[in-house]
Amino acid sequence: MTSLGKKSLIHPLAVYATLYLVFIYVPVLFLPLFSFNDATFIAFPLSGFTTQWYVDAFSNDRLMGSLWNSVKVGIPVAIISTALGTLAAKAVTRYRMPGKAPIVSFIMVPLVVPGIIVGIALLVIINTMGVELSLWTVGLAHLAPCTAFSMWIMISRLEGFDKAMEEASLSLGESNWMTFWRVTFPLILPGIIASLLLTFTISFDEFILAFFLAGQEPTLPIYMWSQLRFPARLPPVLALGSLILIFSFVLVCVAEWVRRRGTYKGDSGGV
Amino acid sequence: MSDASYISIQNVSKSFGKKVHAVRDVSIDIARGEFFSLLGPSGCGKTTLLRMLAGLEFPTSGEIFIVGQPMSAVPANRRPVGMVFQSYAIFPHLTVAQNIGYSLRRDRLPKADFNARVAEMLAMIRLSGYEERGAHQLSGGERQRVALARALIRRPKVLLLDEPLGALDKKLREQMQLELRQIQRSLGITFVFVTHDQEEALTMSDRIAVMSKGRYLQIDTPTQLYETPKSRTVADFIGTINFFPASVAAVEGSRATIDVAGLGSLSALVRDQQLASGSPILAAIRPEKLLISTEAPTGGNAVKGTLNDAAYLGDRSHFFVQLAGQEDPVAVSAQNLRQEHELEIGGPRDVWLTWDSDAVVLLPDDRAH
Repeated sequence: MTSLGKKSLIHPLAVYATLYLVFIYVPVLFLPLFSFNDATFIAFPLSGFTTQWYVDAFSNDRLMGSLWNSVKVGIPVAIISTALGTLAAKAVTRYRMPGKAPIVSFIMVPLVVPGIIVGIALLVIINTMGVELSLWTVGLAHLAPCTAFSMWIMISRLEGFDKAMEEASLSLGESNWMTFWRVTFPLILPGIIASLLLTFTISFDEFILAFFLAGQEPTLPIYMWSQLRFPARLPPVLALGSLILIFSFVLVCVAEWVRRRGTYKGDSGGV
Repeated sequence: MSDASYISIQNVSKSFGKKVHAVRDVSIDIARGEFFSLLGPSGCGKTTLLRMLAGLEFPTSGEIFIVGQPMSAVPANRRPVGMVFQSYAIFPHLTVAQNIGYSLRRDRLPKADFNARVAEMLAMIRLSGYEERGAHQLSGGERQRVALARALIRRPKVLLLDEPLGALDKKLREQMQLELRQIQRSLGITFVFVTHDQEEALTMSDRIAVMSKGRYLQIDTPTQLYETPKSRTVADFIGTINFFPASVAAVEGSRATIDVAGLGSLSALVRDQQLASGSPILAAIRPEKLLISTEAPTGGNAVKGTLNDAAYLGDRSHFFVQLAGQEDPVAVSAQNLRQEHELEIGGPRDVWLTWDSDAVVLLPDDRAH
């Protein structure tokens, strides 16, 4: 007999899962670590603790300007893509229409097409049309993947609740419009909030489309990338990057929490 | 419009795509204040028909009139109907009071009037004091009542109910059947009720349309449907019944003599139907119309058989009697009027069945088709 029958204390899958998480998160954790390191060069050994880079980050007008650019793009993109995604999802889940499946597929395509291809294509078209590159063109480009993502969230939300709720509202004398505001909207609100937060994050993080289309107004990822060439300017970028890391993490967690909390327990219409 | 055609469904058909014909050329008139049921197995088109009355589906052809008005151009929210959904569709984000008063928004009532109207409905469904509860705090029966109150608060001319009792347990269902009937009578509102449960339809309805494959087979009162079904399918769908293949021997006025294999010659009542001598026919008789006895009767319709099986159901017992020349055993139902039973089953034994000749129903023999 071998020791095969003996139960291992550590499950192999637990080892795998741990390694996986280490692989994903440990490199990222170096960012905050070095952001507090009192040295210009990013290398071990650590030389001392400082908050100087955070002070530098907030006093760097170009860095703050690019952060503000990203916010200026991200907020409208989140609102518009969520509105479009919600309406598209409502159409897809509530109405019979010809060619529904191909339409949904085409809307979803921007999620999987490499950004560099879309970026080049958009750049060519925008140049041909003679439109000047700006934050507007970045925002426009961000709408495609963000709308697809929003639609994906909203479809699952709309499919999750009983269509009879909307029909009940109609039979109680409310118009389609009022039914949307009194029944559909409150029920899909958690999905809408999740969609707003996630589409903002997508736009905020996006690099390739912004790289091609930003013109003279860099978004934060573009600015960060441009600073990599100058080692002395990197630590403040690390400091801001650390803050954004925490902010993104909180945002995604809140979005997921809202999305889950919004599924009503013990209700026939729930997911 | 007359009171007899308060709702008039005229040659209505509904297809989904090219292949699915949910409702085929149905014409039904429903009277004012009637409790009308659409009864049939799932997929028979009863729910589609109800949804067309509600305006949630529109007929492919034909027209529906409600209180004399054609409905083909009237959307769901402008119809004088209320609806109770199978899933109840209680709004989970609103309280009971907000659910029940949902349709009062357009009236812009003062708060006190709104509360009074809601309280009145809550009293009707015997849930007074439930105003501030949330949907998830309600039991199945309570949700059902809230859905009913919500649909009735504006006193629609017609209330449509889509299998509203299907999700409730048996006791609660029977109680709700009585309550629904009582509410319907006291408000005088026309009810159109969809169900697949024949017992429920028989208990509650003034008239029933038995539906199958997008058409109706028979529209009648519960008594007529049960006692004088017009086809084998209806007879079979409503309750239990014994069929005997037979042939017509002679017809004299309102009585016919028929020959049944194994039973010999029987006399039966002819009910406005055309019978030709020698043509095949089905003789049908309900289990409770047969009397079972261990002693040979004197005179009348009687036949001897073998009691093979019995089931004790408390209030009544079911017996299964094999007759010579018959394939299937005959089902007999008897009330247990006394506590002692002479017919305890202990191995097969000889019994006699007797019946009143008016109890036999003659049906067209459509079995071959």
